[in-house]
Amino acid sequence: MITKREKLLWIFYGIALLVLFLLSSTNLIIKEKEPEIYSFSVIVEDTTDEYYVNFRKGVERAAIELNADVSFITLYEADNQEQQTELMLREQQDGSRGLIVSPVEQETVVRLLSEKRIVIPLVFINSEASLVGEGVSTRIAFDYHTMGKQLAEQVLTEQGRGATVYLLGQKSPDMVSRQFMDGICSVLDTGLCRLIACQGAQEGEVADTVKKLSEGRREGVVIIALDPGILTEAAQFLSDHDEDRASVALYGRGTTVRILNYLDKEIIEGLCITDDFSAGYLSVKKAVELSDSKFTAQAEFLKSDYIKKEDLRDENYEKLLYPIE
Amino acid sequence: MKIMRNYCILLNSWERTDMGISFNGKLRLKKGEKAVLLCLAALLLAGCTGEKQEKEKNSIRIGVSLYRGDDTFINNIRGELENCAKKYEQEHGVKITLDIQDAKGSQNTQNNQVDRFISLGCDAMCINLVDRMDASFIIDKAMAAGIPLVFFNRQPVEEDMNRWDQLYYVGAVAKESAVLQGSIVVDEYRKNPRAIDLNGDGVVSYVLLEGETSHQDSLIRTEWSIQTLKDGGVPIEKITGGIANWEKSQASALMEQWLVQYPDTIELVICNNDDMALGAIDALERAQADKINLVGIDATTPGMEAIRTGKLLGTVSADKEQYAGAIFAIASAKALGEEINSDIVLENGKYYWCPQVIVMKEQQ
Repeated sequence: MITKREKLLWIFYGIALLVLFLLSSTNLIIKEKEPEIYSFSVIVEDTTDEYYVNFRKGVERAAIELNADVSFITLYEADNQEQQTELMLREQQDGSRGLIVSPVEQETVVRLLSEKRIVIPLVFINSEASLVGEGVSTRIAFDYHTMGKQLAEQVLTEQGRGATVYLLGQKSPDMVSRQFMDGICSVLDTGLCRLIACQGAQEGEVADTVKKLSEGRREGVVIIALDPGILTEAAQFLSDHDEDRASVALYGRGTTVRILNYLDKEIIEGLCITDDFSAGYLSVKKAVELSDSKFTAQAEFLKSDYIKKEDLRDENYEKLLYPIE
Repeated sequence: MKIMRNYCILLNSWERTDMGISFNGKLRLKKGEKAVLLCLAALLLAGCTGEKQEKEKNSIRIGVSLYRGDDTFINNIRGELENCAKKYEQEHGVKITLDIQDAKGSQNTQNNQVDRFISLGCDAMCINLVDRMDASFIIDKAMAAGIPLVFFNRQPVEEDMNRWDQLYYVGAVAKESAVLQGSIVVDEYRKNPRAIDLNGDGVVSYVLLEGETSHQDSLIRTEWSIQTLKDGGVPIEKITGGIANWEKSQASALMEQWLVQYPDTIELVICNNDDMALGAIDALERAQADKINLVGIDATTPGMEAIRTGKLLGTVSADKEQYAGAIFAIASAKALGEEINSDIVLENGKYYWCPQVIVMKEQQ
């Protein structure tokens, strides 16, 4: 026979066990905080992510660490602002908490913000645009003007004064190429070299231009490609034509594997590189900060470097150019 | 409605008594208990009547995991998949989110990626398996989550494929690739034997660069390529062979070694894919032995470039647009809960085989 007191004790034990079970194994008493998932969209100006490989790796790393779900969106047609605007509005409507945008026309994107058609935080990449309103937007940027100056100084050192330098670019260069070119001109267009702009090359025409420039030349030709696409095409042409390769010193900017391979084969003489992985990582970090209404700087500038073939084996550059996801 | 009617019958059968409520005179409940029971019933009723209205989906999410993102052929397929998604978005106004991940040759990483796809709410998954013998984890997860799976390029074993009716495979028939590859050499030999038998000794001495041993295509490609050469009357002699795991760098290292071991002997290099052929070309260029013929499979972009410049004799192309198109068509249809387009003819309701053609310089 158990006494009334013992009965009560057993009931108490039972209740205690039940409470402990509810505390430890269910959400009934202590609500477990659900991890917040930040949903962001990266919208670039191109139709592929060919020039965003390392950037994307940085984005993916940040997405894992900061609990973000990031969609990487390319346009149906390159440099089409109308499409980019549509996609930005669509992503906002679909619940994206922030946008990371490489604008086709930065004025249009800035207008979208100032007209409050875009009301979610916006991180600009490859753009001069930054503040539209504090806590609304920020930008991750490389100083392409300084990069251009740095490259021009190297060209001057390696090729000597008085060399004829051809600037190879597109007919309507983007903002980055314009800044890069301005930087080059600020050094070389001061009577130190003969600077000739060969802009207007369309896709597939670069090879012809390089051929014309190198044909029948005894003295060396210095070519600076203003964007990674042009640099790749020019290097591809020189790779296929040994006879032209000997007379051309090719310079440019970019970090794609193809470009780095051409540098390794010494088809490209010298290269300006950027830390795209960090840019990708930081852009997500900034988007999270803006989304949480935390203070964030208006702009974050990242460094760029000039490298030659031998630098490819340098441990620091290896990490920067071939980041591990 | 039937459920609602049952609840009404249940509620009408309550009787009021002095002690409270009785149910058919047997169950006696107090007022408070009745209230609790009524609440439960109401909740159940709400649960049953609140069936989700099937809405037409205007956005889908597809998870794609690649066994190795640096494999050129796989990378080409990835690019085509992205194009398919964009085209579909434009044509149908359905937003497509493609989550493309690189498993970097690790089955564990791929399994984690599948977990992430499921937690992100993917509507379908396209998996390029790392280990084709180890698909069970992914299949189990997909079955539990009810997410259709489209495997591609690396075929799971049949037992795994038969486990669920929402499993599909897209690939190219390895035997067909091999026979076409062999026929490139046979045709060239018939046109001009000295173009293949470089030293004119009546025997074509060849080396073989093979893919992974665990890949279903490696053995078949090797076997049928050689068989086609024999059947086509090409007198062949194998010097050596090696496994370069589909990789350019490994193929380059092997070729470099063979050029030292067998100087002026190799006349033909048969490669299970284009990447390995390109690795061999690098080694041949370094050794300045540019007369040796090479054949590959896949028609990757760099492979096509090598054909254009005359470094590669020929390759076999599975139409990548069609290949990726089939993967996307199956995945998107399943994600949207629709029937698969009748243009996609599935063998046994599961397998799609992509047609292949020979690519040589004159056809470019």
